[in-house]
Amino acid sequence: MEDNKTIPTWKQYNRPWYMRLGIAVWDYIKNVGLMLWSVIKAIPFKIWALLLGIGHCFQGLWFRLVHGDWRTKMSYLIMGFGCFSRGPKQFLKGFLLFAVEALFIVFMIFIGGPNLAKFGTLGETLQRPNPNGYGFIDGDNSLSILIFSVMTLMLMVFFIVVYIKNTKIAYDTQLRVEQGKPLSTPKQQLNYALNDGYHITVLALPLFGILLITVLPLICNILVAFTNYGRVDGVSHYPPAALFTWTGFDAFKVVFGDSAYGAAIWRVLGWTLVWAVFATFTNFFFGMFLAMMINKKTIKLKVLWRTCFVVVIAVPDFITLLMMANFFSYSSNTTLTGPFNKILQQWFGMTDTNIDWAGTATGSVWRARMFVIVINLWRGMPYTMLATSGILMNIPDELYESSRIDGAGPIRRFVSITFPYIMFVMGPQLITTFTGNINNFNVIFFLTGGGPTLMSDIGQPGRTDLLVTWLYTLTVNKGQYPEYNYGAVIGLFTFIITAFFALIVFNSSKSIKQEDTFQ
Amino acid sequence: MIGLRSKRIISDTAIYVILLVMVFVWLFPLVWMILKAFDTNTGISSITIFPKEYTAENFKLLFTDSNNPYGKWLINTFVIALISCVVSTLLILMVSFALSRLRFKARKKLMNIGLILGLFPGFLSMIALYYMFNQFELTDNIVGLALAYSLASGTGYYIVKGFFDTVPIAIDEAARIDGATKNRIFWQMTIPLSKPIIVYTILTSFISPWCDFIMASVFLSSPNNYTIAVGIRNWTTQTMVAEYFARFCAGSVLISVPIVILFLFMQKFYIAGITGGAAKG
Repeated sequence: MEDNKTIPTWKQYNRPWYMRLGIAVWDYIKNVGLMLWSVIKAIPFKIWALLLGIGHCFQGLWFRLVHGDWRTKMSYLIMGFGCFSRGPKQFLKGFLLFAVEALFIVFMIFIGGPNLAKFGTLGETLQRPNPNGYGFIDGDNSLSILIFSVMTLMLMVFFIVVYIKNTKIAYDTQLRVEQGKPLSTPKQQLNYALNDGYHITVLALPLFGILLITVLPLICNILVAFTNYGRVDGVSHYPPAALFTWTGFDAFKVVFGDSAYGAAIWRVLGWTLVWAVFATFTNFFFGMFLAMMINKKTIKLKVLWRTCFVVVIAVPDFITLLMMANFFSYSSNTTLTGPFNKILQQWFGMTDTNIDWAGTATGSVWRARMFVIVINLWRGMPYTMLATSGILMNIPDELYESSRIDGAGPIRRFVSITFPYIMFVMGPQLITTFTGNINNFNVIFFLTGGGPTLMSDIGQPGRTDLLVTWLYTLTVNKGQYPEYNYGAVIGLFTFIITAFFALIVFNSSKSIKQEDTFQ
Repeated sequence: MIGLRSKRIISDTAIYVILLVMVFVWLFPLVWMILKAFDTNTGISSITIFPKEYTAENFKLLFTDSNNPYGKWLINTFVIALISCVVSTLLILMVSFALSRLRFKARKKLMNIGLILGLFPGFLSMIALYYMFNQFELTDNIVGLALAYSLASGTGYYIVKGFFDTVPIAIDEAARIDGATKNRIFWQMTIPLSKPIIVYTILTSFISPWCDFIMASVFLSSPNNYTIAVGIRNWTTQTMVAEYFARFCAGSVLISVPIVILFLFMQKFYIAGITGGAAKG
């Protein structure tokens, strides 16, 4: 059933282009729907499989405990006992397992336990002034409790996995001894790490890094969405001076409810999507046409033309963006206004021209929005040009020649050959760019800083603020009272929006995988 | 025939004109920035478009003004880039090798999780990360920032894995038959065979700390520890721009030149990353 439906329908040449476009769009929406449905449908099975797996683990644990000899049974208490008690060959292995247990216990006693015990309340003791008169006696720190509790929970999962593995190893060793097989030597064990178990060796460090730097903070910050870490109803909850605690969905109710946030969030989402659409498609189409011009057979100095544009993206973007913000800067004094206005005045004779292009100083919403989109085009188009150039060079000449023989004009050739070919390669990339633009912090932050902020939305995000820049303003840039809890809610919301569009990528790249006919 | 040829000449001329205009529009602001870097009038406001008088004073001030130690920022960023480049390259290569060449149970799942992690806005996790690093006194510390940049770089396996996928698996199998361990295959076969993509990984991970602003601005607080991005960005704030804009331009030109040259080297990999990655899905 998949085959007929997922092939992009723009290839059905006998229909007019608007019908093909309509069908393609409809197919996209339908496929995303089906995809979402299949994901949702699979959830109960996934949970069931997970429960089954856990049950299986416990069954195994119990089985090995019952059938194990005393050494195996001992390794339920002292990890690695089943190894190091069976002779020097297994010392190293046993010792490593034991070391894991020892370290884990030490960690639990000094860090894990105390923090986890307070995880339910996120701390109750406030810091109090030192009776000697100097500084404070430390109380609980909710943030520290939260982070270390999550860390402890992650370590516990890791420990349980190693623990179960340990009983397996002990039992397997026991079986080998009973069957009279020789035990593995340290050399063989090392060989396992370099061969059959090499994926563990190679992935251990990168995974550790990802868990520590990305996953752990991410979980913590998601959990913050369910706390009052911020300033709620005029009361500050910033550790170490104050505590914060679990408040369930209160932060969600504020962000989506009847508040300054609720009033702004849909407006910001709307602009975020509009921005993402324009930023993506202007870059795509103009970049494509630029690439086609440069790659036209008869055009000379291709490399030179290309390089001129590539230079723009090669400069770090905070530099080009800050420079552009100043290039278009505005001053109410006509003679001291920014360079671009000067060019209009001096080169084009518009003597009195003094326009606030970025819209932030005069509060012009539409000028600000046009500005970020146009500068983003300046900044981003060379990327598409580069990518499309690569594709255009790969289109076989025969396609064009045979179409010319069939009497196809340049427009026809573009619609029927060039464009489908580019879309075939760039399609998934296009949606990735789209999700990237939803989270495009730099362009907005450096060009307008989210402004202009109108009189009517004091205390709300500005008119070019995206969800991410709003998140930044609420948390990092809020000064005295950062709203970490509301920021976390908005971050989660952004993730859901991005994930929705990313599903299309998975979906479309799957459909393209099935389509080998083009290659 | 003549009709066709003249038509072609017209269309080519039109394209040349459009391209010239576009190149002018695209490069003019950059040229303006370079000229501004030599301006004697150091603020953003001026009566003329181009500087009236030129001087190298702005470049000299970059290295002599002790309140704005550009030289120190340069060294900081270089050290961060170096550490982060070594660590990231190693981690990315390891992950890519595992996901491309080894077969194990959780492989598909790990790849999907990597993709999902990429969908969260980057600095959603920054506050907790900052706090964690703060506990170990790794904030306002260039080594700490370098670690924050690089330790989680394993998620950026995509392009390198795509390249590894194109190295024929038969080579690995032959080596296995000759008794080589997977470890040896990784270090002595896959890596030497993948030089271009390794150069690409090294360059991208070396360049990215020069371009990052957010993370650095959250992590670093004292001017002596700033990276270039944090440091020179201050010169464009509303209070500073009236006096320091020319110096911002000078500082930008100085770091942009090497980065542009590196980027021009890398552009073919960039294309391969997009076109190759998409086709493989």
